[in-house]
Amino acid sequence: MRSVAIALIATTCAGGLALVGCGETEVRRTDANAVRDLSGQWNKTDSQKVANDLVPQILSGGWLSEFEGKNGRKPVLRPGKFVVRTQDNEVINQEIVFDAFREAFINSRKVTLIVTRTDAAEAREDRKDQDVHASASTRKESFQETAADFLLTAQINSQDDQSGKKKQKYYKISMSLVDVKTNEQVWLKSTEIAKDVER
Amino acid sequence: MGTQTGVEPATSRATISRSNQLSYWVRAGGESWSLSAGRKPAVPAASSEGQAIGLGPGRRRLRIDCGIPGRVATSPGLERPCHRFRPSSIPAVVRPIPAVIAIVAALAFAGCGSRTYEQHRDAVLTNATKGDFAAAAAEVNALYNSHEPGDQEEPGDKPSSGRHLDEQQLLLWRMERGALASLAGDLPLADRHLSDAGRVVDERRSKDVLAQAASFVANDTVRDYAGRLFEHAQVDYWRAINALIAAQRREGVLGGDPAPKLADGRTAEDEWNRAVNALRKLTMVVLTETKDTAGNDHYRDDPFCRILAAALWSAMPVSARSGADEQFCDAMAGSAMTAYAAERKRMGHGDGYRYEVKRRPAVAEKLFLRHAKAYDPTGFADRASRLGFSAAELTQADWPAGQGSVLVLNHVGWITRPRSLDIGFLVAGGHPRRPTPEERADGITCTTFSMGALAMYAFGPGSEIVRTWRVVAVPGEAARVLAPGGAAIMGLSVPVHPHDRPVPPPAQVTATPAGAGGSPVGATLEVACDLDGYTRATLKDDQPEVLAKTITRAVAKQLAGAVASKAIDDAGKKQNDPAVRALATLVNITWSAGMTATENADLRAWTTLPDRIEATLIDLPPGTYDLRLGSGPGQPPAQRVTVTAGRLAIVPFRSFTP
Repeated sequence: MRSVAIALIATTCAGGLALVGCGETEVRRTDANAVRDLSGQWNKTDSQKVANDLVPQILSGGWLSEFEGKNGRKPVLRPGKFVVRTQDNEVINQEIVFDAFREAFINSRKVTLIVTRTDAAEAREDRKDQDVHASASTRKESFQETAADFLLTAQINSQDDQSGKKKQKYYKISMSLVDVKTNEQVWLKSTEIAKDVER
Repeated sequence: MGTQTGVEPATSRATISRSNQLSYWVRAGGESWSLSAGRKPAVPAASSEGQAIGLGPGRRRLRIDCGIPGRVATSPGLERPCHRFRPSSIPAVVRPIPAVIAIVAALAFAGCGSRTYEQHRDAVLTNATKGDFAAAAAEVNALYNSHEPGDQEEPGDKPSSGRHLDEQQLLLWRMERGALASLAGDLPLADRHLSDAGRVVDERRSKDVLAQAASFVANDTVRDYAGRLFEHAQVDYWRAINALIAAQRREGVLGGDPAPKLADGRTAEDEWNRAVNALRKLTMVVLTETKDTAGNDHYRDDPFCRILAAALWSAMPVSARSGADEQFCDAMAGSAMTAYAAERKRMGHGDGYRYEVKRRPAVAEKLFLRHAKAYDPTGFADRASRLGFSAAELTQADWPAGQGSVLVLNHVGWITRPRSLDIGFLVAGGHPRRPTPEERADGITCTTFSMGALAMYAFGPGSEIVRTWRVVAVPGEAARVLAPGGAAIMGLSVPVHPHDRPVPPPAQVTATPAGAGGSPVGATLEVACDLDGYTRATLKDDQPEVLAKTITRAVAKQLAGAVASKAIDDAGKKQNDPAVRALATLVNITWSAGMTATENADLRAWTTLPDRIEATLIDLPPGTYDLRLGSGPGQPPAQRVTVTAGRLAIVPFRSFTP
């Protein structure tokens, strides 16, 4: 009895002491481009993949050569509405998704990209401010903005399938170009991402 | 019998005769204490020198009693007499015993002479209710033995020049001080405390599993407080509320007296960003981790926190809104709908507690419908119908044209805090103490139950709960091993909540135009978040583990004493010396009494949280309004709000009605 009791107490104490102090914070820098899936939710890798899939397609579409042939210049694109429809109310930071597109468009040098309407409104506020406060030589005039030829809109739809601890996350990302002058939809493409998640 | 100081002379004596008789008395300043052995009285008075207690065969529970209900303790001044035991009358092997008794006495006295934990906690809430936040903060400092330069260490002290932070209680101290500073309207101070509380939560959340394991060895109260999951969410909730108040104050959306103190050098945009960050962290980090760690616990999500996050988009000035914020708010509104439904399913049939959110709150539904339609007009109807909205309900899905809206939040009362349920073993023929009428009025009851061969009792608020516990049956042999020599005091205590009571009907709010003309608009709030339900459900979820851990720990401690006692008993058998065998009993009694005194229920909890949050949404034409809650005395001061078309104002109140 005595040895059992001593062993019980000693084991409990040792176990307890051994466990205390195991929780130190550990931080490791990782490659921002490395693929790391933790929860199965939308992440940076997905944004990058979608941009890499869709941007080359959009830039090789007939609409581009047709526009250039007709107007003799690069088309001007403005990012428009980005709607996310997910079953589980997943938060997808569309700024990060759009950033991947912006980067790809700018690097292609085939289109001129202008800012979103929210950013344009901020720039207009700034110009109003300059009218009052800036020197005449540095003041920027109004009515000099570059107008958009096309509005780039995007939509992410998701559908999940789950059985027990296994889950499939399916995303369909659609992107379209709308001619601002005619409201014609000149280009529409979609790409898909599917992930199997096991918990 | 109370505590006395400076009592002289204090004398004591203990003798154990060869006929297995124990004589034992102490006198201090004319007061006596008694030692009983399962019958009364044993040594009743100062004149009882030489009176003996028979320690015949069979188990006895010995009790050192200073007359304080529910406490195994000693009379005033015992610590001195204990050091004056006459060695000549006690065998040599007995000499360590006085030290043990002294420890027991000191432990018992620790609770007799100073203000108790409960009294401090009462004082915090009483002062905060009165609006004396400085006194409440000083009580919190004293309670958690922490302060920063400029703080009072204790109520009535001068401001301290130093800093002392008790790591064990750091999170509680930060949370309580953050909540009190929020109430006092000192938003920079609140932010400082709550930001650090958030940091501590992040650190301790991952360590908590390990700390739980470690607390099998030590008492729960000695581990670093890591907070409950709903408390973690509340840290960021209050940070967000304070940032929303500050942002709206800076923009002139909120007005009225008293004006809160705002941080120097920040703009309204800074404050909006702080609100966005706090709510993003709350919903996307804290609530995600909560879901991951909650397992089958009742608290797994926080729909009301999601509603506040959803409301953010419409509250922000148009220039500060981004597409990412819009999608975030839309996702939060949608997830709040599903979270309310799931929460109702989990908590709606509360086992021993009331869940006061009667249905998916109308305010939440209205915010969802309006957000969802504005964000995605095409997919809105499908989504709403999946969430159970009827076609008729979809007609209220537009923000009112030419009007603004006000989201009124009323943070009501104080959350129920855990109390101690004391559990002890009953000796044969004994009966537990009955609650006094005052205790009964406070919900304290006494319930007897059994654990296999052991008769037990529970004393405290809602003690009947023990009947629902599935406890491990202890066979008679195990009980004998735990109490060699036939006597032991073994008790433990666990945290419980008093009985839940229905809440009064929610408040009415009236918006009166500030200028001349216009008629008041009234609305009734509804309970949108039941924090009291969360704390009760969380404790229920934790109870089996707490109970198992407490019993394991108490038995392990008891075993250690039993081993020593048995060794002495064996030696007594060999020597055929009844005195030594009686000593074995005494060792067991004193050890078990000492260990019992160290077993305290972990009653720590964030006590300055409200009991519940009531809310409503009012649509108003643009203009300035005074918002008042109720009409009776004790209501919070009116708040002035300026309503702008197409924008939501968020107006938080704090009221202390029950």
